[in-house]
Amino acid sequence: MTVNIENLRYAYDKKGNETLLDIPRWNIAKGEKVLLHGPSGGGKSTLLNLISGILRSSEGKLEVMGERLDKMNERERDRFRANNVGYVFQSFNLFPFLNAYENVDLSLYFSQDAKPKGSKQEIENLLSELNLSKSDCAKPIRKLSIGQQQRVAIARSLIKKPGLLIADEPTSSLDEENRNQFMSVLLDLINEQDTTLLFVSHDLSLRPHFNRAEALAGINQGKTI
Amino acid sequence: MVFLGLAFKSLISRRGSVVLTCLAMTVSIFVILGVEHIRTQAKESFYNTVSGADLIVGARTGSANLLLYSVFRIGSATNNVSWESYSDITADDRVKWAIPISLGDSHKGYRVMGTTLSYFEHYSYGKKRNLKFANGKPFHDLFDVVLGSQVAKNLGYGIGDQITLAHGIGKTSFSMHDDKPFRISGILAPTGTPVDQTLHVSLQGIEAIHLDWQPGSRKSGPEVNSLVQEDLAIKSVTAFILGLKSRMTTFEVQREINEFSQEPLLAILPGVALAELWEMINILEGVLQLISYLILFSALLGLAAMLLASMREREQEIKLFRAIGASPSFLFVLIQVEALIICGSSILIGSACLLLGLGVTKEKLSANFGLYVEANIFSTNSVLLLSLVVIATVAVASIPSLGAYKQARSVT
Repeated sequence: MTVNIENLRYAYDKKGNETLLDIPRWNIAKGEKVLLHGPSGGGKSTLLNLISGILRSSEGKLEVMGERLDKMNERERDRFRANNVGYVFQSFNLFPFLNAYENVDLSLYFSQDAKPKGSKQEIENLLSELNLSKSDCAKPIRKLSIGQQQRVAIARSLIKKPGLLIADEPTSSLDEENRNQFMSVLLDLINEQDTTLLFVSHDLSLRPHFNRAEALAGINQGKTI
Repeated sequence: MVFLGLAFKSLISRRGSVVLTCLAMTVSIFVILGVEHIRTQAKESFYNTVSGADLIVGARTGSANLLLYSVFRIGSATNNVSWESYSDITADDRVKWAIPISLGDSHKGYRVMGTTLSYFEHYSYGKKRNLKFANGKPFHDLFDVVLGSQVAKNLGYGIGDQITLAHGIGKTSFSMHDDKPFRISGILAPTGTPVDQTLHVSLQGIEAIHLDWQPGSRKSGPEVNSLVQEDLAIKSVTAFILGLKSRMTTFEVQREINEFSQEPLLAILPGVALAELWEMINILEGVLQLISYLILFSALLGLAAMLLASMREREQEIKLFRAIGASPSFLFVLIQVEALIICGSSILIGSACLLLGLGVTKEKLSANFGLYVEANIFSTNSVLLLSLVVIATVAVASIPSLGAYKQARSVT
């Protein structure tokens, strides 16, 4: 099991009056590709932050890849995330002051456990596999197209071969052609690395790419804000 | 290395505001280092001007004025000391040596000082260092002149050259002693004191050029060739420096000179007078230091404000850092490193500008203000001061760093 949630509660205030998430039980199996959808403000991003270990749950059990995140301190969760979880956002996936290569390399810096010897070659291979030429990789990020930037973001999040990839509406700002290209590249690599995918999107036309689609409202008994 | 690389590239991407902040810091470091350097150098140079002398004697005036005109060649004497008084006092058994000083003439803005060979033997500066000749020898002929190192260097004179002295101490004079030119017999080694800016001639030489003069203008008088020893009898000196056989008698001799019955005289202890004079400058020194600290403080606040303002636009960046596994402490350190890069660059540029500035203005400072400033600005004091600047930067940068830390912890 990659994600195993039992009686998870998350409230913004310490007294627990404003419960945003209350999930009795929810699982994602290893290698599974899950599409999560729901209205804005429903707590999707918060759930992703809990599963990646950025936030800590107020109550309940949260197990990711066999590790109890709810029992870890902040430093341990940071280390866990750096080594095991890849993250792709809708926008601002890359540091604008670094080039493509440096962005991917920085991700490896934080996941020291995952950094293999000869990683430079591996970064170049992965970027090349994502149709990014050497000259594109040396360019400042702002000089790349949105589609190219999203492909660099995939490389950045998958270079460390994470067990879980979290994608928070990564296709929202892409046109249809780029969106299809993005999904194709992403799924190829996910399948190749046997990575579990938790994908958040409003776009239900993407449903065929996933093993299952879940509405957050269906698993969450907390209050929508 | 990762911190440095990231911080550097991040700063480059925000170069507009970073350059302005860096400039403000550079100016403040230039000012703070410059004030500190000139202050310590001026103090050192000031206290090193004369050493080994027990008393300085001149016509009754303020001790600061006597010190200024006799040692620093600044200002003028209120009156002269008669040769009889000089002779009486220096004949005292307690006096070991005496250096007469006769001022009033100049050469292209540099003061001319009449004295005796005793000057080259007994005058000392710094840590009791005696005068040394870089070239030539002391004056032996009536119209021999010994140049201070700066005079020779700035005017391009060498041994054997002939020069004409001017009456009065103005930079431009229409009353020249051009009928009695002097020949350069020696050039002194640099001392970093007003000696470097002085031309030294014999007391008889001073008398000789004034034989055909009455106050303010020339009248007919004997020609050089017809001068006789009686014509050159010294009538007065401007001041004189005394070295005593025993330091124990200093106050006694000082009191006796101050109560001298033949004419009103003032004897001062050079060390005490130097300290008193420095005390007067001390207030200005304190004000300058305060201003430079305030300038630094405002520049540091500017740095903190720039970094703090950037936090809002870096919200997404912080979120991304967190997503790839960076801890809040990493972000705290990253902002600190950015601040330290700005501080370090400012220290480098500020120091370089100061070094360059001092190199260019060194000569002018010594020529116009008698301020002998070394170009090397790195001393224990300046290193200490720069360390304080770095510590202050870290302290001030803690505000945006803590902001980034908190922001990193509350990512949603």
